[in-house]
Amino acid sequence: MNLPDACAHQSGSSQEGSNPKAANPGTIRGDRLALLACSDPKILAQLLIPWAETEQTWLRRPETGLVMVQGRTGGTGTRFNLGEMSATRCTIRLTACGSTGVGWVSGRSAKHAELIALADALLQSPAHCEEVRAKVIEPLIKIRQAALEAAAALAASTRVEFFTMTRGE
Amino acid sequence: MGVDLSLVCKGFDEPVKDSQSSFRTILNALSQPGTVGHLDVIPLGHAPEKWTEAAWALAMTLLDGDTRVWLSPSLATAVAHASLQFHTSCPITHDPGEADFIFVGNVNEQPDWSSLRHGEAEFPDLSATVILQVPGIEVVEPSAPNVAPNVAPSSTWELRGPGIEHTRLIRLQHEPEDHWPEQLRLALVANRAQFPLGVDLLLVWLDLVCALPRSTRIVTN
Repeated sequence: MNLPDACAHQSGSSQEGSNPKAANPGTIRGDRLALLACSDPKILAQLLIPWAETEQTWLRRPETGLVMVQGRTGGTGTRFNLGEMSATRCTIRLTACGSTGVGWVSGRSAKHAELIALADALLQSPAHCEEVRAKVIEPLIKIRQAALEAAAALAASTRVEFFTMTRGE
Repeated sequence: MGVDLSLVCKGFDEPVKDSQSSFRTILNALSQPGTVGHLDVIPLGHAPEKWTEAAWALAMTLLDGDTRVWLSPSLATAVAHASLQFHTSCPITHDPGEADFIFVGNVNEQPDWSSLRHGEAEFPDLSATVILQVPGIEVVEPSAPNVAPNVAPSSTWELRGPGIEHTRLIRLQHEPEDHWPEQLRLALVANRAQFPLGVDLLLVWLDLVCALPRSTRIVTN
């Protein structure tokens, strides 16, 4: 599979124009796609129930393939191929407003990819963007935050302080 | 390199099923030159502008990341580029001489066939396939026995060769003053002379296809 072909609109902006880098990490859309991909699909399905019947057409039905994951040696050096990872992707277009959403997720869950694509398409649409942000994205951010804090607290409880004695002469 | 998703149009509704049935139709058309195949997998109106449904079905079926494609000016729209990249990842070339598939939007945009890939003696299959959108073609039933076959008008072609038991007659629809049917016929005759090298031609209109592979002879009067 090629690298993500997601681009086009920043959420909330007008339908005109397109920015091929709009879905890269660090952008609003990119961060939200990452959040959706890392979320529990059951929770995501629950949160998206109000929009489950939104009329849509498939530009690409969910398909699973392999992506080559790359790293950089030493964190800053040249790229190398780390290995292949299963990923599932799909692309939908909402019939009413014409916005297009992509869903990319590691693993083989077509359902999870569909949910991400639906959320992404809704976030690209001015009509639904604000409501979906408040009712889907915000709760997911809180859940992730809570999980990170819980993991940090668990790790912190295992911290050991070392005190060294200075050697007298 | 990103694709502007707002430009992408639909491909196949059910990729596996639709591509297999399309491939079968194309195979049958090439195996039985002069017959008309029905590529009904792209609903009418779902192809990019200026593309016939048949040409778009051919693109969705035959193109992938390794097939180099040349598009004639009327077909080389932003929607077509974005959609081809999205659905097929095919490399698009601006040099017809490098392409494996040549999509021609109308009869006035044809590149010179002598500049296309004709294959090599050891690899005749490394040649171009030309997909040409035409106004229309009808299959002509053999005329009554007492009518001489060579009284047919110039845009009716008698075909012979592999895949044709005796002959087949097709008639190209065109305006009375058009020269392109005769030019196309001459190009096909010159192409046939190079057999086993040469290009293969797929004529498309609406959601229909008629194939004239390089093995087919057009009998001249």
